[in-house]
Amino acid sequence: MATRRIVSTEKSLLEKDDSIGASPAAHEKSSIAPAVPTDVIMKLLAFTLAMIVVPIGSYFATVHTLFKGNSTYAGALAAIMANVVLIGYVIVAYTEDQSEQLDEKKKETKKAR
Amino acid sequence: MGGYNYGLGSATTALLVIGAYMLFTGSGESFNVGAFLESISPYGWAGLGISLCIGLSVVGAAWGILITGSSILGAGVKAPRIRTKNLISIIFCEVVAIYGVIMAIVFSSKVGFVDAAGVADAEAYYTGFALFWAGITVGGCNLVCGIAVGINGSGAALADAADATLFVKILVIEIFSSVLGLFGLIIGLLVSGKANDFGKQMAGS
Repeated sequence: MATRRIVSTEKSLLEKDDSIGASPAAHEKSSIAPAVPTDVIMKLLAFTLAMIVVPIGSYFATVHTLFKGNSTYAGALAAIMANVVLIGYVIVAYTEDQSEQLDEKKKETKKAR
Repeated sequence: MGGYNYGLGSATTALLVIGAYMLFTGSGESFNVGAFLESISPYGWAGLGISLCIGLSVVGAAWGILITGSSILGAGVKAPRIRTKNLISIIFCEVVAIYGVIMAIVFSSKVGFVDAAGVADAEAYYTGFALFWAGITVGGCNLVCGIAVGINGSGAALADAADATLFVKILVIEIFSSVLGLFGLIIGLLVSGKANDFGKQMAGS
């Protein structure tokens, strides 16, 4: 004899009380925090702007004043400035990564206590 | 593939027929590669070099960002945290395009108006050829460098999603591939550095 589901006590999908993956439980609010934090986007935009402005600006600022029309040296300086911006971004990313790992370690030690 | 073969065969046959006709009717001397190259204006060479320099660099950078960006999005399915370190590869690709822009500006500063006698000058031809080949050098180097950085960055995004502690090791390899573009930039600067601006006489002569 087949058993019958007791529909009156069963919970429907709308009333589920456990969170599965990203889908939250019925009484919780779903997470709407942006996946990419604002400061990361601002850093990327600032460095993108600096990557365009700094090398080309340093070329035009120095070609007639410092190097007296020698565009080769001014071009070399512009290439160096592009790499300076690149290294700056790498350093920012490295420090952010380290501070994040330190935060995680602190949380873990707090949980252990 | 078949259309390609037919096209190649038709072009070869047409060239052979025209060549044999000109050879047997006494005008075979007009097959002169040197005269053809000299008949192109130095401005043409310089402009072609500048456009290939910036164009190929941007193609390389765009190719790199295409590969890297799609991998970052794909890896985001497993690890949705996007931090500054995930976007390093994008900046690395961008610097390749900036190399091309800088070199195009340096080259274009050498181009200026001269009269007909100045264009026919040997020095104008030297400047034109130097800018053309320096542009090819920089553009080709940056094209390959952009692809290298892009594939590296794609691997970096996937590795970071699997194990976040791999960051420094990946960064070292990515720096090595981004240095490749600098080599082309240095040689482009050296080659174009010897060429004078159009119309400006050599300092010694």
